[in-house]
Amino acid sequence: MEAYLEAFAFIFGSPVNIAFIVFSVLWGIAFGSVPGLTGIVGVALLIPFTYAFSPEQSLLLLGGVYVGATFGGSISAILFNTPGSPEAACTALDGYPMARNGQGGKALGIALASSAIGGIFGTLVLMLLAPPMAQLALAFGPAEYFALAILGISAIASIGSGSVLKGLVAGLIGLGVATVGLDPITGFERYTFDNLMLLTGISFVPVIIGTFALAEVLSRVSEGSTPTNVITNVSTKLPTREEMGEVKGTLARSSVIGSIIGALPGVGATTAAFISYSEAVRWSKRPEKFGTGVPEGIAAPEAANNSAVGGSMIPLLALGIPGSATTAVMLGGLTIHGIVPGPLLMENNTLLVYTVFISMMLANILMLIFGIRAARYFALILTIPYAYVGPAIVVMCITGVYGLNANMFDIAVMLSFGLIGVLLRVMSYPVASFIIGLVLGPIAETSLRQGLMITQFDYSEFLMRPIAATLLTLSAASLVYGLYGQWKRSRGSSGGSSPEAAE
Amino acid sequence: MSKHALDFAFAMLLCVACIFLWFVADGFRGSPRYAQIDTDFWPKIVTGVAAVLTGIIAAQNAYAWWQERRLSQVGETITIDWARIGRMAAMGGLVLLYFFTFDRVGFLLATVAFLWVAAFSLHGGRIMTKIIFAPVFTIALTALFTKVLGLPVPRGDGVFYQFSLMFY
Repeated sequence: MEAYLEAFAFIFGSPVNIAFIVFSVLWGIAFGSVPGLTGIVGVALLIPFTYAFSPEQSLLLLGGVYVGATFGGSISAILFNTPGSPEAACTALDGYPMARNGQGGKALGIALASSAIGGIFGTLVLMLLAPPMAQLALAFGPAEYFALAILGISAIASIGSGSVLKGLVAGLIGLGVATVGLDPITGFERYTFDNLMLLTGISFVPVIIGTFALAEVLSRVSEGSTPTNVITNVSTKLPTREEMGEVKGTLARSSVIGSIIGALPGVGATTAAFISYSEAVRWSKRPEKFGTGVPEGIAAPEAANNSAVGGSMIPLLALGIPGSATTAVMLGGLTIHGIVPGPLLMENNTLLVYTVFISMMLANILMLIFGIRAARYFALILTIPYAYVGPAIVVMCITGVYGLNANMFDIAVMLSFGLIGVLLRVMSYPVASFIIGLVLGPIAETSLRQGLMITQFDYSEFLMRPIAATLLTLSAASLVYGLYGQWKRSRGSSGGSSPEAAE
Repeated sequence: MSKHALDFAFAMLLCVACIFLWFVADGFRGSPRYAQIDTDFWPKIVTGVAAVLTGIIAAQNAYAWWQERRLSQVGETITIDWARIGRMAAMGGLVLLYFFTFDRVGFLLATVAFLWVAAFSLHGGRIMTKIIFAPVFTIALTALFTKVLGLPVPRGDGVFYQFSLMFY
């Protein structure tokens, strides 16, 4: 309780901190609402700016962006039928039909109310579960951390509609990039190719800004068009008590699903939204109506993806393992302040952790206020020509990366990874897996090698520890599940094409 | 162009790169103390597994491509959109030019020039807004970095350095 009061006093003791939360939520909604920019880009672009602030203020900013962006994605999904972020993809299925039927305001209101309920639920789960989980994690050894890292990479590669093998390869590329520099145990050079700048490894921030923000700008510029058919003449109408009563079961179920899925290492809001949507269809008395504009079709993904935000912060703060691609980027933001998330963070830096709890709760409340008052103005962002937005983002990428170390080499790294990001996207290798691999690389490597030293190089010891064995079994299960899903999809698509071939 | 052919080529490229990096790891300096988990231990696991997986992806796509050709079927194809590639290459080139001038010409002039060229080469927006946007955005960002955040921005060399000193 004392920690909560201290954090409360920290946030409300300074108007700057309140201004930061307000700004971060607005920034997040703005980035979330523009298709392609996403919360990850919003967080990545802010990281260099946080260099000038305290770690608490930095995390307060980044957390607010994450919360805002998750809701922001629904604005363009509903009004433009193009999700601003991947986690809002399901929202478009029922949101856009409602908007087309003249119920855009109602659709936005359901999305907003569901997002706020899901977000607050997720934050409460974070507040309740992160401290005990951190206590439990104090007993974790290298074997458990290695197993967690493997679960993170295998889970993100397995879940989704793409190729599992490509997801794994992207994760391995991330692990490979993380090996550049000095070996953490022997201290010898690896993949430096006699370049002194590579001795300290490849900096995380230029890589994420390059692969997400710069690659996104290059991809968007190549498309050469801007949205024109955006519904902007709309104002948010919050659902009535009766309307909320109709979706209360969906909200409760989706919030729980979102928190659980979000808390799994590597799996984030997008998966939570898809699973919640399919569960909403399964539990509905009128499943055939989904996709035509039913409120449950908006409430389910929005409650789940916002609940997953809080859930995905649990492994980050308690274990130091990101729960999603966005939290992986946030982890990179923390490293520039010398903060190492994990169980000891809860013990040694309670102010930081509890500031995150309270600021995320506050961000959800602010999101509700901004969503009611300003959704229509955020919709206007979609009409700003990319001739301003794209080049401005490039300038922010380059200036932000330069600002970290006043170093042109970092910009060269960012540009190189911008190109790699474009290549990965074009060839359908998931960039999120790459980033998770990059973040988890040092954890996986150090844990494996330390674990082997402790066990006298007996690999089977990793399977003798119950938690590590459970996590490794889950990793294997997620891969089998992913490969089975891929096989089923390929069978479905070949089955679908055979009649055409017969004709 | 067949999607499988393109996937095969990219996977093969990655596979060859992984094999090359595996051999590079073989040449890392070792430590007798950590012989069983030496400097090359983890990089070899990563590159080795990646080589195997990319090899599988390449083989899968080669087989699917071969099947397409054998049965004279038209599978999933990718149309090469040269206009799209050209737009991306032009923007990429412009970003590179900005990168090279960033440190030499200084933030102010390089950024205004980049924003003008980029904005005028992209569709949308009014001419007057494009003219005004570049200097306003640059000045705002300079003020944010130098006055509010206290982060460095490059001043350029020689005469450009003197010019930048007038502002920050």
